Amino acid sequence: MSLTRLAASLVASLLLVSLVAQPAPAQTETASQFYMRYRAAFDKATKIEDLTPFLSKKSLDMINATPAAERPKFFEMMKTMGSITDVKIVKETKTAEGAMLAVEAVGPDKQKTSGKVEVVKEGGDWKLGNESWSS
Amino acid sequence: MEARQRELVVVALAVLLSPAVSSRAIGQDGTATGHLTLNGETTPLTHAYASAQPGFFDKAKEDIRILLSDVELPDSALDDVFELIHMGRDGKAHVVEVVLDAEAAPISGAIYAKAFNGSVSITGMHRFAKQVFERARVAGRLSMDEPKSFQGVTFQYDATFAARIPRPPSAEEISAAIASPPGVVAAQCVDAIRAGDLQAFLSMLAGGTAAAYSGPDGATRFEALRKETPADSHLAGLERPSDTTARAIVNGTRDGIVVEFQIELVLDGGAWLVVKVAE
Repeated sequence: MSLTRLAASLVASLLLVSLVAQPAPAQTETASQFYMRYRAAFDKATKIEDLTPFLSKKSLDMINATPAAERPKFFEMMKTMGSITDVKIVKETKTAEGAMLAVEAVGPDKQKTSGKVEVVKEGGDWKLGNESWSS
Repeated sequence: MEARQRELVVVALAVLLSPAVSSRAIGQDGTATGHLTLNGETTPLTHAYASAQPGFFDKAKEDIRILLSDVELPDSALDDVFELIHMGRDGKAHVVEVVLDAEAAPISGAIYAKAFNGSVSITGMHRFAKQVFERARVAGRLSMDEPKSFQGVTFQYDATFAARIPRPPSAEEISAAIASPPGVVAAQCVDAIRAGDLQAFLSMLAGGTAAAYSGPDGATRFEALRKETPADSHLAGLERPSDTTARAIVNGTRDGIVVEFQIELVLDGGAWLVVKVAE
């Protein structure tokens, strides 16, 4: 898998969130709250490791399959492709695995974009799954 | 004389029973009973599909497109003529297509089959004997009066069928579904969650689900469910996948976000019970 493709598939996954340094999420945190926390972390992140606590096992496996030396470049791609602003969650639909979020935002091209964000429960914690965005 | 009377009785019974036999022959939604014959080779038609589309002659009205097939068709083929042509050309399906106008009169059609190298458009020979022609359902008999020939292929079909016409439910249908027995139970379940009434909640659950909310962790789990459920949650719809199952759609808002989840129910011993609540 090329770095570009890997970055594209993970962009959303890593898009947002916050902090490795933050305390563990409370059990009562909703999927929407988790995603907004992830968005904040994404904006602050300076390396991919800042985001790994938010990612699903599937996404982590993809990252781990990338040679360590290439991860900084991969992370930069993610930051470029995943830089969205004015994020607004409009709908949270519970699923068997967790929740699917319908999200609106402004993309890197300054155009309005809408996305579907999968948030999954793994071991009782929310994790970011796949994201798809379209303008 | 006695034999003659018995014969008359048999004939009379046959006439009396014929509507019932005919009705039974229509079968379940999504099924067809009949055949397509191409150059003397007969293929059973077993599957039926229907869909609504803008009227060909009058866009203000609707046409109903019916597909009768010998195999189950993938969803992707139902609205993709090219996929049907490929399936026909590859010998993977034999499909009769008939389009009915708003008055249930056939206005066009096609056959998708290898014998026609994929497909042929045929018009003017379709007959539709209507049994049901409603907003969400169509049933009856599609046939040709006699065999026809085109491109060196002699063809004829005859089949009874029934099919649902997929449509989003109307406001009236949604209201009726919510007021139905499973809808009432689902609404009571939502009320119990919002009120934090674990005992009322448990009383609506099927055995296995009730067990999951019982015991030392049951109250904790229920409280987590209550906290995640917006205070204004309400039944927004109800689907009936089968006569004994139902799926309630619940909507609420939290921090300006629409939160939606489902409650799944089953009919068990005459009572509707909750088997799953999305958490």
